[in-house]
Amino acid sequence: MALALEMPLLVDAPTSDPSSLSLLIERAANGDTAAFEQVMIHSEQRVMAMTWRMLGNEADARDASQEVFLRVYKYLGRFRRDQDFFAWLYGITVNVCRDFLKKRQTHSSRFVSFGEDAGDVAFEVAAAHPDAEHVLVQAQQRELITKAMATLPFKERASIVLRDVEGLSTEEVARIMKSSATTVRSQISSARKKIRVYCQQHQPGFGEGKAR
Amino acid sequence: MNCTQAHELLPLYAGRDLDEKRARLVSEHIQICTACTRVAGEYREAVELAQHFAPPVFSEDVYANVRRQVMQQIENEPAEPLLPQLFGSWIRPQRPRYGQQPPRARGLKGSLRKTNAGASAAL
Repeated sequence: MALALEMPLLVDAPTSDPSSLSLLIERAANGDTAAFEQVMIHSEQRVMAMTWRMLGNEADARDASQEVFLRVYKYLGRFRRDQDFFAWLYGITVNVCRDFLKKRQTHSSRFVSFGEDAGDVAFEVAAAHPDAEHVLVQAQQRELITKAMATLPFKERASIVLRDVEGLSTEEVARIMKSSATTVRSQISSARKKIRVYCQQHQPGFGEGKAR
Repeated sequence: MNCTQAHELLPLYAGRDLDEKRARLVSEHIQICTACTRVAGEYREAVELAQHFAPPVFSEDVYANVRRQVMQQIENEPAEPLLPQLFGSWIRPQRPRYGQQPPRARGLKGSLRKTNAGASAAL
């Protein structure tokens, strides 16, 4: 699996025009499968990214994304026009990932995959890059946060991904998680504490550059 | 605010998740406390790191394959009933869900039970 060292932009490829997307959603909800395929193209990068972040490997992310879109198709008729489509989509994605992890009893709702060789590949790619040092630092940071995230329980991971990675507000995260803002804040706080402890243990000098 | 109270709030302070009043109290505390300033820096770095939690770049083949699988399954399965059908189902007796037995009237025997089951199945 190719490892990207640059952060991919999660801008949906075809267009970000909300009016065209709502038109497609409306047509898809009325049974237009070609329009539904376009809706998938609009949202597949977000869904794959989210499922990978929640499940930790490409194979599961693919299967989960497939299930997400099947559920979207099934329930699109219940999607209300005044709702935010991507928030609704994230809600389905979180539920699918939760179901996936329940099936994976042995993994006890923590992701364990995240290709153990990811770090080695990163270092090989970094060594061949003209700005090797910068790329290497990025690769190390990615590896560190990936492993730190792997230590979090499902709800904390979902909350921190939606809040810190996707940049949603606490209230939006609460709606997606079908929880209260207070509970989400508590999950986010706990997740950040664990990430900090993990990073302290695994990266010498962690946080020194940020102390002001 | 003392250090213990600040430590509890620093994870949320780092991500700007505190209300204005509590954020100001934490801010005032870390200006005079070196230990908490260091911890605040660690949380800030943790938040920034989380923002770099990026998946690998998946090839177009991966997306195309997901789409193909979904479209195939959609074509092979009956669609969700459209809105008029859903509304219609509110005023009609519910048909049994797939895999469920039709409802039975307890205590009734013979032809009446069969008639009920037959009526449900026809809906």
